[in-house]
Amino acid sequence: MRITSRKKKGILVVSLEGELDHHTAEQVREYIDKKLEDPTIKNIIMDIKGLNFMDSSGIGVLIGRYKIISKRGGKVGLVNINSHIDRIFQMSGIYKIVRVYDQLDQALTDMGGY
Amino acid sequence: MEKINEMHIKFLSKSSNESFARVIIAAFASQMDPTLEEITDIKTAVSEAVTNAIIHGYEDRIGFVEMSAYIYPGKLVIEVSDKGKGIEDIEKACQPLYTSKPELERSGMGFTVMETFMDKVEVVSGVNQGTTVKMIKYIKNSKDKRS
Repeated sequence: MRITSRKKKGILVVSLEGELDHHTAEQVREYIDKKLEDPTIKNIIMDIKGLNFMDSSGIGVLIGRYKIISKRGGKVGLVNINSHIDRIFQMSGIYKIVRVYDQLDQALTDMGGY
Repeated sequence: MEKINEMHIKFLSKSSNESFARVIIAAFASQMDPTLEEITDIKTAVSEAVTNAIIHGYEDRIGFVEMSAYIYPGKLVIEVSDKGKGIEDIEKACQPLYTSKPELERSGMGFTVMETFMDKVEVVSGVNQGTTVKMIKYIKNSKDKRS
């Protein structure tokens, strides 16, 4: 799993490349939570364009980060969801709590990064 | 129904073996000429079953997870077994969003994912004896079915 991120006006943009399962979920969780120690981060956008596999472990990671961010009054956005991952998200009901965007630019604009 | 092929593999209940199990089942199933979507469905279901064996079957100890797969004309049967602590209440364990380990940020969607992506899922479990998850996937345009 390759994780990269950048900060833009209080938004943490995290890009995931590789496979997100129970094994790599730990790595993603630790990486993001360390970044979230920065109190100026209010929102998170997860760009999952490079995610070529995900199982239900990914839902746990998202819900966990949502809980942290929502306590700060922030929001979680998802960008570039492929059809397989979309099916898992659909069945989990996660779309009730996260925002979905086709493109990163839209997500940044909507969440106040521009 | 005539069995065309079968395989058995055994590996330690280490989380790094989750991706190993996915690669193995994808490689074995590929001889049936499945679609990319069917392969992804199978890999995801196997990932859930193996993760359950590791997290719930063995919890903090290390044991062996066994995976078997059988190819019949147009049909793939997969069994994932552990010799861990077993499931007391299978019906409860299979309910969407139920997890015995919320502290690990588990979503409780494992069995729901298996049931959605496979055509049939059966769970056999005995307390302190272990758990076997048997899954069936029909491969619609399988080579064996066509010939």
